[in-house]
Amino acid sequence: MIYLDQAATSFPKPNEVVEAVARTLRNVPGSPGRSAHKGALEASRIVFEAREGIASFIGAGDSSRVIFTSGATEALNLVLQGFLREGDRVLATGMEHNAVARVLEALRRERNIEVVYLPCDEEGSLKLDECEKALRERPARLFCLNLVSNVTGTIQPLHEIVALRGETPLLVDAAQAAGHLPLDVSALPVEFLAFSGHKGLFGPPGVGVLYIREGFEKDLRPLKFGGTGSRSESLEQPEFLPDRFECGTPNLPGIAGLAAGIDFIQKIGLMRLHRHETALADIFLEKIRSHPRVKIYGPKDRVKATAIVSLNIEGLSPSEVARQLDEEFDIAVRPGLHCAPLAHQTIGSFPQGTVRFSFGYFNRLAEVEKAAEALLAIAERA
Amino acid sequence: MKVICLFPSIHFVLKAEKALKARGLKPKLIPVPKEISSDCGMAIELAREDLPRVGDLPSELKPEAFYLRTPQGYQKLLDS
Repeated sequence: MIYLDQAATSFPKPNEVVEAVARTLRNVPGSPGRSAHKGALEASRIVFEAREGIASFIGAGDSSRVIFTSGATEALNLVLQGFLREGDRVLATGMEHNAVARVLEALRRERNIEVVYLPCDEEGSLKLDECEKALRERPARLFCLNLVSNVTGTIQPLHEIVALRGETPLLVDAAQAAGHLPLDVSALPVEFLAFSGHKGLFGPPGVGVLYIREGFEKDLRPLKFGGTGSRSESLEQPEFLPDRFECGTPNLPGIAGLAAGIDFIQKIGLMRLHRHETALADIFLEKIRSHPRVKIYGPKDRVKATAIVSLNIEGLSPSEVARQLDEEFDIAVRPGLHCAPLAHQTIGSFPQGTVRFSFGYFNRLAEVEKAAEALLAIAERA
Repeated sequence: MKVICLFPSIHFVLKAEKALKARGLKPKLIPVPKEISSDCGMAIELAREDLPRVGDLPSELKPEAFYLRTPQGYQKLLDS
């Protein structure tokens, strides 16, 4: 199979990741932070080193500010549900994923928050003048930024937004950015950074990260309460990080796999990896763009996008195109709305959606050429 | 004579262990003695003469409490 659904989850995983996951299941007898025998201590060390590695990868000096979650969705929920209060005003982009938009909708009903979706152009880029206007209008409690769109790969101008937002705390949804673009919270201060482990970072599913800037944990209510292995005599959730926001048995195989994925990226080099992926996307686009029945969405200037290409074939539904690619050509892509109806409204592909091709480090040029030929064949007979 | 250093959680135990090793000390991880705390976690044991070096640690890695292990039992120290 030619797997071009890398934005859903990266595949295959590097051998190092598979080995790291297997090693915890085979050789580590114990639960991190629970009891003091050798196995538990080894488990604790794996989690600790993973936390240190991630902190260094994102430029967070203090690794206790790196919180493990079940994924980007939980990390985003923790901030949105834990930070927003009755009547708060929230800014978000017109490219948000449902992992943000559905939480905001629930809080709009339950806590009467005001949600302002900042307009983006049809390529998905935030209109900075509108953004500035909304920021000036009335103070907002939080600014949610979808850093890279899972629909079009559009990269938002984080530098400009960090400068524009002034005092407004920034929550960055980096689910599609981590492992593709450098993320450095020491150079670009954000208050909350959420990402998943199983996409660009090559980890297994079921693990993600929330980074919390110093001081912003105080106003953040935990999403979960429970056992941490620390302060067990008290019925109060501990105040200190990471325990305040992590409870229940940690996902040791997932965390070990995520750490191995990040090591793999650092071995290859993030820029080399990014160049490989985006070169594949560029070659694919070059081969298909002139077909009169193929409509391509997202940035025309591909410097503004990651290796995600959304398109439609005139006269065919996205799911029909994906079905033909799968059944006849053994090519895996993702059709539809990609859990991001707002983004599709923004780029003008709502409600039918698009066909999304997403490329990764393990994709080869020959696969991309075959995918382009298959797509052109489908377009030709449409 | 040994000193037992207590920390809020395993994260800080491991972070302090790393920092102490980087300073050339030989911290030993031990289960928290039940006479000191009901917590089920780990603590760091150091030689008493190394105790002043613990004072060099960054503030977030300062132990919450120190205990001296004596033949009569554990004796809480007021400061490092």
